[in-house]
Amino acid sequence: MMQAALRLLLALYPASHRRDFGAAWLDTADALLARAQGRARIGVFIRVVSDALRSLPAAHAAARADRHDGGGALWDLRDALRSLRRQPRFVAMTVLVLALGLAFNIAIFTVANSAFLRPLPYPQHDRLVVIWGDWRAADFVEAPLSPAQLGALRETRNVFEEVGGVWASSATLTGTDLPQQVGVGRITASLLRTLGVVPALGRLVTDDDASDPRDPSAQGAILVSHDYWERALGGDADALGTILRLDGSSYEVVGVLPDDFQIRFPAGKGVPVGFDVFVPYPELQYLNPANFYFRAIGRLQQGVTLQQANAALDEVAARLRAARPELADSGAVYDVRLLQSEWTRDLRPAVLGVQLGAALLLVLTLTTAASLFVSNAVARLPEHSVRAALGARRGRLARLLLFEAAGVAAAATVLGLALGAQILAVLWTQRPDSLARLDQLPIDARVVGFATAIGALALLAAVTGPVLVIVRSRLARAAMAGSSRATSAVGLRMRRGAAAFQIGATFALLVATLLMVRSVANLDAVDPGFQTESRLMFTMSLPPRWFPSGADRGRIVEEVRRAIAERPDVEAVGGSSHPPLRRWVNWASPVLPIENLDDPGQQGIVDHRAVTPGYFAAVGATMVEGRGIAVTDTGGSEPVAILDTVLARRLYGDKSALGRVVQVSQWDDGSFVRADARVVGVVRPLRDQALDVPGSGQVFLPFAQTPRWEVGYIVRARDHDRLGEALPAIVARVHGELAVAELRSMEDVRTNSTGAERFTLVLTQIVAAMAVVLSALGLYGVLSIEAVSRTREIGIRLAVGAREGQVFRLMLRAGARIALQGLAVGLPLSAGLAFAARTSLFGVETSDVSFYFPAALLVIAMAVLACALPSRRAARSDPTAALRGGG
Amino acid sequence: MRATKPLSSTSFYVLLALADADRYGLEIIDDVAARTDGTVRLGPGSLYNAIKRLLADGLVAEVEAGGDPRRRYYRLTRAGRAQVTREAESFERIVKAARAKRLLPDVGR
Repeated sequence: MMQAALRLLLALYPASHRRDFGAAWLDTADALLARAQGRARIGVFIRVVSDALRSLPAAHAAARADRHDGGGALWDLRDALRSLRRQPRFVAMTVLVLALGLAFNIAIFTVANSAFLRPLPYPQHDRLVVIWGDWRAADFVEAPLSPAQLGALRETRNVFEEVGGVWASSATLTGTDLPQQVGVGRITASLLRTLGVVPALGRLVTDDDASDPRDPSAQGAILVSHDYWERALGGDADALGTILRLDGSSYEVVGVLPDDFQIRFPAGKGVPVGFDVFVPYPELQYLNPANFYFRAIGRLQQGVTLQQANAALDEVAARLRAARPELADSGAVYDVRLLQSEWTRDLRPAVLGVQLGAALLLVLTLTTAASLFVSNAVARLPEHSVRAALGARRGRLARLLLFEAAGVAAAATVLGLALGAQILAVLWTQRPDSLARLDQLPIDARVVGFATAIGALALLAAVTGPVLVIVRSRLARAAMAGSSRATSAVGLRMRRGAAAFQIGATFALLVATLLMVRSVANLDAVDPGFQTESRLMFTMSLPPRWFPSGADRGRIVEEVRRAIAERPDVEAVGGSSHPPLRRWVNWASPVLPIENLDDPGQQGIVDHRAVTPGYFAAVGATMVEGRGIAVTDTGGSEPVAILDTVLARRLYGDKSALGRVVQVSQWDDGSFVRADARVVGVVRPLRDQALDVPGSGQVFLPFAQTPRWEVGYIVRARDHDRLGEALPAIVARVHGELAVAELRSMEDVRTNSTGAERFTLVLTQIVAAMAVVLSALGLYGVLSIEAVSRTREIGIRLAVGAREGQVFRLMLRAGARIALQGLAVGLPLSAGLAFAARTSLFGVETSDVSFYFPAALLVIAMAVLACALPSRRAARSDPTAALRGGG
Repeated sequence: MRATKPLSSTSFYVLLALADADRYGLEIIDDVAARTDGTVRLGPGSLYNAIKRLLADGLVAEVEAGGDPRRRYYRLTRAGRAQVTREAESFERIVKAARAKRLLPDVGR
């Protein structure tokens, strides 16, 4: 029984004590009891019990002290968190500063991730390729393919598993109240197989579903996009089977595509981001083999490399050129490229440039945070030295600091992720069209990984400074001296260096901003050859059901134009197959002087435009010679042409082009026909595709002589809001099946066309502004510390008669030294940044150093402002207090 | 270097007991009782508290002794010997002073 009681007693001891001495204690107690006889045993028992009870508190105290002292990273963590809780302002500031830098970088990385890193959401995405045509003889790359070229590809089963093509057009949907323009993707059924699409509802189209769109009696199959299904068909399952009338032909809805489906294709190449509906093409053999419009995507066979594919296709192209007359002299070959890298290639310079700016901002925030941590460590030197005196080794102190820094870094990373998502949401609402094809910006594993990586950098920044401070300082002396003057010298050199670097980075960002400001200004100043004030634009498509022949289309376009021109508030109106800056698929064809039809040197494929009378006046183009299109230039009259000055100079040098005859291509109901046209006018080039790309020649033919399926009207009127509201009705009065689409003011169109550059500029400005604030704060902080550490010196100067102004200038000079060092660092940084951004700049040479001067002036102004307050404080200090207290 | 605080009396007696031999728990209790004519009888609780402190301060060390592995033998370290010698010397000075003041009888010259 006594044994049981002893064991119970033992259980009262702390676990560590029991572990170390439990057995020995029990043995000793047993032995003591065993030696005693009879009644003496009870006495021994009582003695052992009371001894145990008396020694219990001491044992527990010892065990507690052990836990605090010896072990436990866990206890250090708890200490670290407690220590952070005691310094709310410091923690708040550092977490905020770090989170801002992290957030911006996370947001930009998310965009870069979606654009470049995330695998395309198609099955076997790494085998998907874009297949361009490449016209060697005409130096025309990234060209669309003809049905013959696409058909030849389908025969190369050893290279491609599947190949499909798409052509973007629009059509008028009728049957609802007002006719509606919808975006139509004309596709081969194989395209859907290539992309591995699974329909959300119903089925996909197959080759059997193809119908001839110009046969009004036939009924074809049509696929609708998820968005269109919800918008226009009510999102019901019984939308399947609905009959839609597109350009007068009937189609049955056989399937709905999934919500996230998109044909991801390089920008500006004729495949817009979204389509409303998809219509299958007839068999390729029924299509005109001499028209080039297919944008082709293929899936390589397993194991076939790009090189192998391109080599194999060279042979196919050679055979095709031998077999097809329209390709014979073209030197046309195929060019196969990976879709994953190709579809956002145009975004790379801009996105990478912004990433570089964001990285600089990150470095700025890291150095700011590091400086804050260093000051904090210096201020807490007395606390740390007390710890050291109590026996904490430096390694332990370092661990404590590490945990504090980790706490801040972790909080900043989490906050940075949340803020980054917010920044992204805001930026996204303002994004330019060039980014529109990125439909998803998820925070996926890669983004979180990136956030963790830069969070680790933040940790490094936060912990390095304080550890260096602790290691380098003599803790005991710091505790005894207790003067902030002595301790503030610690870390001053580090902070000076950090401030100088920050100024350098800010200088680089300011230079980049100024370069971009000038670039956008240059774009805005470009003379595009047309004017945008008081002008409206809208588009109209001409359904073949109602306007089956070219003559019908020419006629109706003229009737609409006249109906609009009749209104008293309209000053001018005209139509074009390529209204300015709408980025409609470019049409191009050869224009040859009749004297020199065979000279390959002069064979140039130029931009081909069909325009109505009144167009040049409406769009504000400048006629250099001759006239524009006249009402008399109809389908039956003599073919005429108007050249732009670039083409005229290329063909005829300095001599006048008027009256000359050129051979042009006229579009005649499905194919190009060569015709001889008389040059009746020369006009200054219209940059209708993009502002920053000078054209290589344009020919303008009368719409009536080369009628298309779509036309864009420009209307010049003073009060274009009221006119805009009236236009749909005016057009519908001319013909009930005509829809007005994309009504916009030309000024908006012009501004939108530089949307990407403006967006990048705004981002750069935000980053530069943040950089200025951070480096100003950094310099301010450094100078304050500098003033404190030089208190005695300043006191002496003032005491022996120096004036306030002299002390002020003394401090300013200290600040100026740092600023100049910063500028020295900033020069190579700017050169690097400018070089990285060179492809995004327009009209600006990156070697142009004139931007350095205003940027340097801005930096100096900021430095002076930042230094002013601490310098003034130092100059106003009381010399006796300074000399006495030493700070 | 740790500041050396004076030993508690229990610790002193433990060190004294180990001065001439390595001993285990029961032996230490017996030796102390014998030296003090039974006036100081250590219990196992206070004994092992003291031993724990002495181990942590490096004044004793645990040794492997032949025989029963459950018995933990303790040995005086050099630091421990120095400490207990210092304290014993200070006690001697106190005793000498007490004799001079006739508080204690002379032992004999």
